Amino acid sequence: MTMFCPDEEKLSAWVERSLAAVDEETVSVHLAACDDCRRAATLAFLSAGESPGSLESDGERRIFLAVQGALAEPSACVPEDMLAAWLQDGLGPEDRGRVTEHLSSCDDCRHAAALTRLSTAEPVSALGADQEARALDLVLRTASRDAFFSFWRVAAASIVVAIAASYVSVHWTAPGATRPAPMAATGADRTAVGNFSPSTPPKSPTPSEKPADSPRVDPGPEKSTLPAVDNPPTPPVPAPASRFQPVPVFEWEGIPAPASGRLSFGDALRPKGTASVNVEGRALVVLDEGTEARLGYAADASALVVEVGPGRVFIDTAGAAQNWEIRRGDRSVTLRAFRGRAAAETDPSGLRVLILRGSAEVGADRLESNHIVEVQANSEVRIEEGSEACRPRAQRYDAIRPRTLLVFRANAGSTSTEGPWRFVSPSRWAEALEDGARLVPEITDPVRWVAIALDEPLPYASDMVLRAACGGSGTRLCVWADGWYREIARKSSDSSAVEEWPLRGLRKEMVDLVAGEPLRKLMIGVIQEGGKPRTLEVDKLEIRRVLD
Amino acid sequence: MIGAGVLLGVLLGAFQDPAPPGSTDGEAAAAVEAFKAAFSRPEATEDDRVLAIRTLGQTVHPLTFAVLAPLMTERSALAPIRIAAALVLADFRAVEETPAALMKAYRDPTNALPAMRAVRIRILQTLGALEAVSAAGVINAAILDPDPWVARAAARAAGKTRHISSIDPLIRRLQLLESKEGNKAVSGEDPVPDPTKGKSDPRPKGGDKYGDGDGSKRTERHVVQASVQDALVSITRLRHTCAENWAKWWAQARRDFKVPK
Repeated sequence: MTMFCPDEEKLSAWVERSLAAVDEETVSVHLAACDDCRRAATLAFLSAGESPGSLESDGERRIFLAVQGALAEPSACVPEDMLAAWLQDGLGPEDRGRVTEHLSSCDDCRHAAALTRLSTAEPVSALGADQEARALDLVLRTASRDAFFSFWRVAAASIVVAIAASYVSVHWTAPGATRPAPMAATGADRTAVGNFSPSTPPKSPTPSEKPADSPRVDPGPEKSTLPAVDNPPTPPVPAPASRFQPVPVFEWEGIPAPASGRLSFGDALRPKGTASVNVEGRALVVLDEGTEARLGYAADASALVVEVGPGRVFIDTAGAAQNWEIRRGDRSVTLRAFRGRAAAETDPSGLRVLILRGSAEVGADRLESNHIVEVQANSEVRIEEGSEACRPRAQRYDAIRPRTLLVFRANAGSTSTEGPWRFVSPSRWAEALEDGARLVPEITDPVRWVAIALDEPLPYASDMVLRAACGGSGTRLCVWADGWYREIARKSSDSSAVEEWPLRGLRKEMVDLVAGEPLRKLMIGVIQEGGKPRTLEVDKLEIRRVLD
Repeated sequence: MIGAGVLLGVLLGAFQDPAPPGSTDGEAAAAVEAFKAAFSRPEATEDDRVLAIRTLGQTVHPLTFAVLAPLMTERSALAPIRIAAALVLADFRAVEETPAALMKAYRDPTNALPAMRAVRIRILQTLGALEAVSAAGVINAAILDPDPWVARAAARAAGKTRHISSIDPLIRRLQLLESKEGNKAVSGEDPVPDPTKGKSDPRPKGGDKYGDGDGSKRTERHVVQASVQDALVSITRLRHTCAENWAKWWAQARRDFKVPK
């Protein structure tokens, strides 16, 4: 679930299906969530499909002009996420009526809906590779024939490509399929208890598991009660298992290691004590004692999903704004633009979500901290102020939460082309660099460096710390990240000791590094004081965010 | 497939580029609204605010400029906020008032404090990036600033703006650097700052240190000289080995000298 759009070369290669399996999966997952790239991929497919292999320049120009003109106009059609929700009975009566009315007059959206329904009518995971390829080709051929030269049809085709992405994604997550390499476990901070089983087959969808839209509530000042969403006029379509994609997990505690470095929605987390999961270095999910939960990502809602069984789950977005769909059976609360901490808990009477810190949009309401959203057994939704209830949950979370969030891990002297972190590090021993003389103008002594080049830039945050296991004779070191640097001193001469240095305070030309700066290369240097040789060996290296 | 790739490139470019200079009023107004919501959130951290500034800075428009420029002098704004505002204004070449706003911020008393040295340096860097000829006066004054790091940033900015008026202060600074003044220690203790040791400002205070009495070999000459030389070469397209030669050449050439293209 990379956050960055693939470049055109990679997207073209995806259309041609010439990418490596891991890259293809990454692009597919991204396409499922990114309107712009899906649209572009659809157009690329169409232009390639007009005259396979050699699209004439005139044809290409006609496509480009037609599409360019059409894209400049605002869309009046139903957004694809709303269409998907309509198909899955996830809309309220008002929205459902609006979509139904639009479908009655729009051939393109009707066609897109039909294709979507067709593609989700049978479990995709049951298809063999050949069947899947045929299905993919069929859907794409249909899209290419019908979508030509019409923006609305292009939009419909983009939905189809999204479906294709789901097909591919589901296939890749099937047992035996290619998966990213598991992360190196540190052992000490990862316990292996609980009943988690990576091979647990995905739970068969039942009507009660259909995704629901955010609760609709009155914008009352403190408390409001509304009836639940009415039954839609059309027969419900079971939510396909493919609605939930696996989520990359950077670190975990209290649950066994997921073999693929990912957690699927079918994986039930049942820790014996408390447990925590670092979701892609972006969020923390913490399970309180006796809790059962599942995690996934719903591309149609652009939301991370947590299904809370019995017990209580804490969600911490680590400062970023995210969408979270919190579910319990047929009830759900969707927190949009959620930035902060929340507790989700279940009891026999329903599902409660407590905003402990920060804010979130719930339906039409914007909720600040110390508010509670409750979906009761009779499907009534209630929002109320609840500082008394939130305070002990916040204290409980503070007692059991991890203090840091792992965002990057590497082994110096190695290269990683798979998994969540891809990097190149020529050597674990500090070496002189050809262009190293002026890297740190304040230091006049020679410096030898251990370098790690990152495949994807890491956005800097001021709460980041660098942890590294260092050896060697050097005591005066320098941390360097994309031109920003800071001199540091080793605290321990023990070669196996892990040193920790804050990245806050890195400077270039005496100007402080500020948040959001992309870091593409990290180096730790050892200063050769007075020209005397000093050595440095770096083994494991991590960057973590220290959460307050 | 090449055709498809080209088409994709054009389309992706259109979809993904940040709002170009000349963003519409509507885009700018929406960006400002989003910025206000993110920046003024009660729980917003310093990082959140910096990221909000960075996001706003992607929409180049007089409306967004009007929000960003005051952040460089806002009394409650800490250094990272001011630095971020000055940083993103490097993309605001299309807004005519940008150099004037940067100069005003440079001269603002709140940025004269030692703790705001990084802000002054960042402003000079942005003026250089904008090649703001109108800022030559500020840059020339900064070349002679007692803080060697400010002088270094100013010399680099002068090398980018390439204004003829910068030659005099650059040669003057070079003469100082080649004198005993140039041996002045840059910092007593903390050349590369360690945040765990608290804030420090290496600007010399009180009795100036000469030589390397504190054990450090870092002098003002180490920090500033190369930048001044580079700036003189950039403006004149000539090379002279020392301040004396530059001064001799300038005494003869100044009457008729024109900055070469």
